[in-house]
Amino acid sequence: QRDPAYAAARSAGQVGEKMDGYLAVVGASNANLDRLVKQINIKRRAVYTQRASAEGATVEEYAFTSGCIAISRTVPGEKYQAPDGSWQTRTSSPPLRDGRCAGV
Amino acid sequence: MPASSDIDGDIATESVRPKKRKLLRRLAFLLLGFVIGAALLGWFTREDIARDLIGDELAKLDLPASYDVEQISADRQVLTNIVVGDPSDPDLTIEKVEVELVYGFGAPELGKIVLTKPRLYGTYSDGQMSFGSLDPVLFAESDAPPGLPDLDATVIDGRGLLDTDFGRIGWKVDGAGGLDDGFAGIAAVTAPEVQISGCSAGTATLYGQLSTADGALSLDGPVRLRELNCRDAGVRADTADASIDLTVDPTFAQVELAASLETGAFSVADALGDSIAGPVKLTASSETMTASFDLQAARLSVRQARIGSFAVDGTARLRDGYRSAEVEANLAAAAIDVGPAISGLLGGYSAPVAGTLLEPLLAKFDTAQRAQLRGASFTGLLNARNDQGGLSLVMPQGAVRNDRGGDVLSLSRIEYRQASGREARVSGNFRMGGGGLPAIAGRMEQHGSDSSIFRLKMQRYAAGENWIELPELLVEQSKGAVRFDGAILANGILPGGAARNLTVPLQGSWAYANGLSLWRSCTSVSFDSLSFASLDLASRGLTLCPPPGGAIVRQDAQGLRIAAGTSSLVLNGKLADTDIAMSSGPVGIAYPGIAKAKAVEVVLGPAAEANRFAVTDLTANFRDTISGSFTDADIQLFAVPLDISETAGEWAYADDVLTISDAAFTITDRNEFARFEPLSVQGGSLTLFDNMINADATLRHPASQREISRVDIRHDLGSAVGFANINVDRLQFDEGLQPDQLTDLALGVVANVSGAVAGKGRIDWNPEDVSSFGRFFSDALDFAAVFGPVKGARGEVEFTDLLSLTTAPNQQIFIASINPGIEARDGIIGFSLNDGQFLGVTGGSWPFMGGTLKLRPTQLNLAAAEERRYILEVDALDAALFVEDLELGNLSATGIFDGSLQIVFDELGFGKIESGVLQSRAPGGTVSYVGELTYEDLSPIANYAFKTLRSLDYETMQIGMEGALTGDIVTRVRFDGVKQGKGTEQNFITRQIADLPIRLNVNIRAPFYKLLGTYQSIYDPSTQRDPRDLGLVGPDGNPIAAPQEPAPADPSNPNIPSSPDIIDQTNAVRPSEPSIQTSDSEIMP
Amino acid sequence: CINVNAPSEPIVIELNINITQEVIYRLAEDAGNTIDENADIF
Repeated sequence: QRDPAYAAARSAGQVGEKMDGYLAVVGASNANLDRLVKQINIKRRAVYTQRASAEGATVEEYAFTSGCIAISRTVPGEKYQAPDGSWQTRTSSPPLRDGRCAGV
Repeated sequence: MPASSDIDGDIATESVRPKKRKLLRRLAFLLLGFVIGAALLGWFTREDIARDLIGDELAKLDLPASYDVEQISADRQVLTNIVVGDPSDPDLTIEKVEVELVYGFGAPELGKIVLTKPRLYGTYSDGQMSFGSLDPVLFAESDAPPGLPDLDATVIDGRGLLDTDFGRIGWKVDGAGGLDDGFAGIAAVTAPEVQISGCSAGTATLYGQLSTADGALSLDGPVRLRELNCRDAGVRADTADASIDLTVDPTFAQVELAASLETGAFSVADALGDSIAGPVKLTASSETMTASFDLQAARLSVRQARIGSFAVDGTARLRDGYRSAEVEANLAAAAIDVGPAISGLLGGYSAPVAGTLLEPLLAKFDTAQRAQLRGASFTGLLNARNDQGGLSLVMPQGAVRNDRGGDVLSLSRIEYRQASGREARVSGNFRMGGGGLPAIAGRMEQHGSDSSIFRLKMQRYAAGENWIELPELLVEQSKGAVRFDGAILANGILPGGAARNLTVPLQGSWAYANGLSLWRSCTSVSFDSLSFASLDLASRGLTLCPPPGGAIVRQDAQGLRIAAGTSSLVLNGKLADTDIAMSSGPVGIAYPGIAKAKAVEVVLGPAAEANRFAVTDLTANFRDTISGSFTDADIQLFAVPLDISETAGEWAYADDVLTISDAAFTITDRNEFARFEPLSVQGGSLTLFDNMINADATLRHPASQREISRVDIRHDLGSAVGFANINVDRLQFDEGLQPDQLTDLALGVVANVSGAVAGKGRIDWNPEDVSSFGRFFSDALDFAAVFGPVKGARGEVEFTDLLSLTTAPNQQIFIASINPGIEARDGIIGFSLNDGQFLGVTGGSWPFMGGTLKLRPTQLNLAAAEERRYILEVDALDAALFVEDLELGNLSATGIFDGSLQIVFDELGFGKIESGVLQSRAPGGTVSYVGELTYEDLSPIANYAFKTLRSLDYETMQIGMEGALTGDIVTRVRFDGVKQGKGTEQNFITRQIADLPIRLNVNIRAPFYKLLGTYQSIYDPSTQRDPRDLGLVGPDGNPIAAPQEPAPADPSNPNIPSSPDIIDQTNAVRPSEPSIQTSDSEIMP
Repeated sequence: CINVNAPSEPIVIELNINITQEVIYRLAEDAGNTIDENADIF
């Protein structure tokens, strides 16, 4: 049950999943999109922080792990960040992911 | 005996062709009948013929009669006890008859006849006179002209009874003389109950001198009628006396009557009078009647109008059997006093016209008419005609004059025609005026057979500045309906306003069937200015249209109904002495009922600072107060930077107070960058009184309907000074309501907020500026910020300018926990905010590991996406507490440390320790590993390091830290003055080394958490997951070939928060193998 | 016997403990659940 504006931005490829587990604006940005991404990332950060301390891991690693999964769960047409840092559009084939994401 | 035959002839010739009988005529025949009877008797008593002669005569006349002969002599015969007709019910009885015979040349003639107590009984019903057995004698056919017989008779106490349809009439006659000439006597007729064609009289008596002269019968004397009552004519009189002089001409063809009438109190319809008196002369024959009269009615009163005297003198002619009548009369009324009646009539209208220009005019008219019409007189000529063609009344001339003789009202050629079977038509001219009365002239002309046109004109009738004028009013009457067309000009005061040169066209119709209807089509009213209820119409005219097919004003059986519409209305003026300008789209007014207006724009207050109301639907009903409802209105109060829209509610305007109640509306921030999302209000109220607006409302979040705050606003429209109190009793944030749903300012700044905020705010404004302040506090607020989650924020923030979000300096907030990667608990942060953007952190302190962590003041610009630098000073960190706090059961350390950490947060909110140094205080401390050593096969150097770590005394210890708060922090620990601590395995080598100035640098690349995790994993296998679950190891424990992956991550990739590149450390140890950790428990890919 | 005379300079033993651990496997399952439970922000 994603917020409609967020769902629209995802399917329109305006935002994409970064490897570090956070969302980022893809291409041209605007005030609303910026605020939307920040809002989502704040919520993700809070969740990562809470889970990281529960799991005795760094926020970054928890975030990175989530990033692996989030990218694997992108649907065709959505954007994600490839290991080389470039933005890719998800197709039906598995996404290009960081070596460490293997098996996750 | 020829005489008898001609008497017989006389009587035989007396044949009255039964013609239409009239009262006077009947009276005459009555008397005639009596006299003839007397003559007949004279004939009977001829003496010299024996009984048988008389009997033969009687037999010949077939008269059943009996009589006694008292004396028969040559010249005188006396009969007694004569009874004619049925003895038990005799038609005629005579006590004694004396007849003297006179012998002339021929046959003896009748001389004097004396009748004593003759009694004649007859009946008269539906036009037939009958005396029973005497009829064949009396009414035998004869061709001689009717007339009285030439007899000399004396009647002593002659009486008769006539039983008629109209009641029983008794009469009595005494007298003597030649019947046809020279008879003189007294006649008395009494009728106790007379009932003639709708009129009845209690008792009617006639008493008079009866006389005949050369064939003409005349009777004069008083007639008295009591309780005369003609029901259908509506005429009643207590007493009506007339002394009459009646003569019947010899041939009985004509009756002449001269009477002088004198009635008592009488009433005609609802006019009462004291008396009517005056001479009446009439001559009547069976065919015609002419009459002349000069009657004077005294002290008439019709309702409240009183007429001193009313004289009618004129002539009347009835012709062709009374079927057509013509009356010509002069009417003259004097000492008329209709003042009270008209005043009474006018009184009825004083209420509805109260407060309007008509009120003074009505008063002027009333005083003028009282003056003019007191003791006024009226004279007029009236011609009335009634025949088969119908009835027509014509008054060629008529005038009402005041008591000084001046003309008040003059009438001319007033005609009223009522053709039989058709509607009445009225025409005529009148002119009124003078003495303060309105100058009105009216002319009516006949048009075609049954339509007439009546023109009315009233000159300007003024009382001070109030005047009314009727330049032209056309009244057309045809086929029973009246239509009028004209215009009224008026000028003067209206309730709460005035009308200047108002012109109102007047079209309408009246018909008996459906009453009055005015303005059946669109009517445009024009005026120089029109204002009422202190509102004046800006336009110079107004077009009012009736509902389709209807009329603007209808008055009929159901009462008065007004319905009008206009396409637009423009009003301006004062409302509750505030300037108001109002323009609207279509307006519909219905009385009884409500008024509806569409698209109403109201501008309230001085133009420069106008408060605007745009209402889509406004309804108002007019009872004692004007009230109604409005929907979909947008309100912009000038001074309050908030717009109110989609408003609906009830409104009422009574004694200068405009009240809006039960209002529901949406409040939006008029600022182009809206500082808050629209809020909804139910049950808001506003009053406007004496130029002062008071409003209060509870603001709610539209979706969740959760109460945000209560606001009461007070604003003086005159001075544009006002204030708003904002009370936030308890603003609860949770999943149901988040700050970003209230304001965009919070979006991307705080999220996942939970907790309650309360506080009060106040905004004051005046024409020059707006000031505001507020105080908001919370006792436990959790939220996630860009730098990480914050829990248990508590404290009060005082805003010196609420609207621009500027706080007072050095606001203190206690924060239970803040976790930018490393949780810091129970901190206090001091800050001040300017314009919602410039955050001045004045300091922050956290109890930390026995010491405190102090944040140095810094300046931040929340709006800009910038790196933010913080300096944290560590003061008296107690290593022991540090270890205990991290629950490192198997490690102990002592020593007190001070130092500072430079932390930088990038714009994405990721915090990094740029440089951090902790320096131990003298005399240093110890670090030792107290846990069991479970692994043996360490490499020698590892073994040495482990054993060293096992327990280490140091003189100074310096910890350098760098790295991402949320990621790996590289910690460089440098021990100086290292000696082996207690409990280490000391042997020769170690003792030697112990003296060596060994500096031990231990670089730990792990955050405190990881440190924690690592140790825990040593002791608690459960924290390790079974590689098999991860699909890395097959059930048999052999590794599964991992799917081919592209080249491993490029460590220099900026996005991956790998270890800071400051330390380009070539890892002496394989990165994935914890050096402390023996690797046999974990199989790495 | 070996006589080790104290060098004038302290003997620097660099000991880097770089604890990076393939926690990703360890966290994968938990991260998966977290994403499921917070589907609105993933």
